[in-house]
Amino acid sequence: MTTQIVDPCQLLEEIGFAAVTVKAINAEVVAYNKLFALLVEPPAGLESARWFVECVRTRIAAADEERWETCFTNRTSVQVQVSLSEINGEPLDFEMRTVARSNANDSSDTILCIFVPLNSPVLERFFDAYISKGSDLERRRIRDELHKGVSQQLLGAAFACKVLACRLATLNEKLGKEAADVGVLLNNTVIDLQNLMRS
Amino acid sequence: MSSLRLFLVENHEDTSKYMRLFLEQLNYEIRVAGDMATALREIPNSRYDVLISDIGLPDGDGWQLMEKLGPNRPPIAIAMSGYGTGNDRQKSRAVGYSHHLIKPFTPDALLAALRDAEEMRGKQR
Repeated sequence: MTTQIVDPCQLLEEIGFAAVTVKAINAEVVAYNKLFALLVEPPAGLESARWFVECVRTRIAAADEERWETCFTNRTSVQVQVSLSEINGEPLDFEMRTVARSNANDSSDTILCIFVPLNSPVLERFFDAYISKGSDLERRRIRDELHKGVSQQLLGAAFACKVLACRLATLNEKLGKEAADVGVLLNNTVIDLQNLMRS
Repeated sequence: MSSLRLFLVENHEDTSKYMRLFLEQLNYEIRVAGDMATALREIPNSRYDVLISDIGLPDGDGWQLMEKLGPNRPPIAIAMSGYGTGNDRQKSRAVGYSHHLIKPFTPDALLAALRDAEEMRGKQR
């Protein structure tokens, strides 16, 4: 039996996170801070990027501290082991893959650290939450669009068809019947849409 | 001929146009407004039996309309809304709507509500 080793960085990229390359973009720091927040309690009032860095510093294994500080100063990449635990106290092993600094004068908001969890369901939970949130937003958007556009127009069309069927029936019975059939079709569409919007 | 006098508040032009034509074909007497301000101006001056109002209006909502009409509101009211959560229905009931139709609804659903309205009016007399 062979064991397939999954490269966690590749996995992150496949999921949609451009994980491994260093980008000094605050938005991404925040995104990764969210992952980090799943593991440790954020201290109240501490700016998020700074809190992220401060938390990392205290959790680097003693043997790696010097390497980490050097790379931190020189804006180079480094891999060190970071000992973390979940908020509920469960131990976790995380691997710090990349550390970089784009502004030597200000360490509080220019550091991007990317963590890849090893043997942990935390990342899975994070992405589940991420995807679930996206799905909810999309569902809400579609529902609103249906309400403002399709639903309103369909309602008008259903009434218009009834009116037309009645008028045609006075001129030509067959045409009136055909228009009434279209009305039935529209009614069924209305009911289908109602069910779709409620599901 | 139905003796019910209806006041429709609906800001979607096509919907209000064809609902009006449909109800006129059925011999209902109907007046239409596209917003709350017009409804508030016109309803107190005339005696309508049934108010049919959209909940989402450009200058307010159907719940506010009922509250602002106060004693001038028609004795029977039907709400129309794209949202049919329990909370929306409760709000409609709380302000005095007897029916809460969820858009899109069929013309038959509106007619059923109007038939109920006629029965309710019969009992009120």
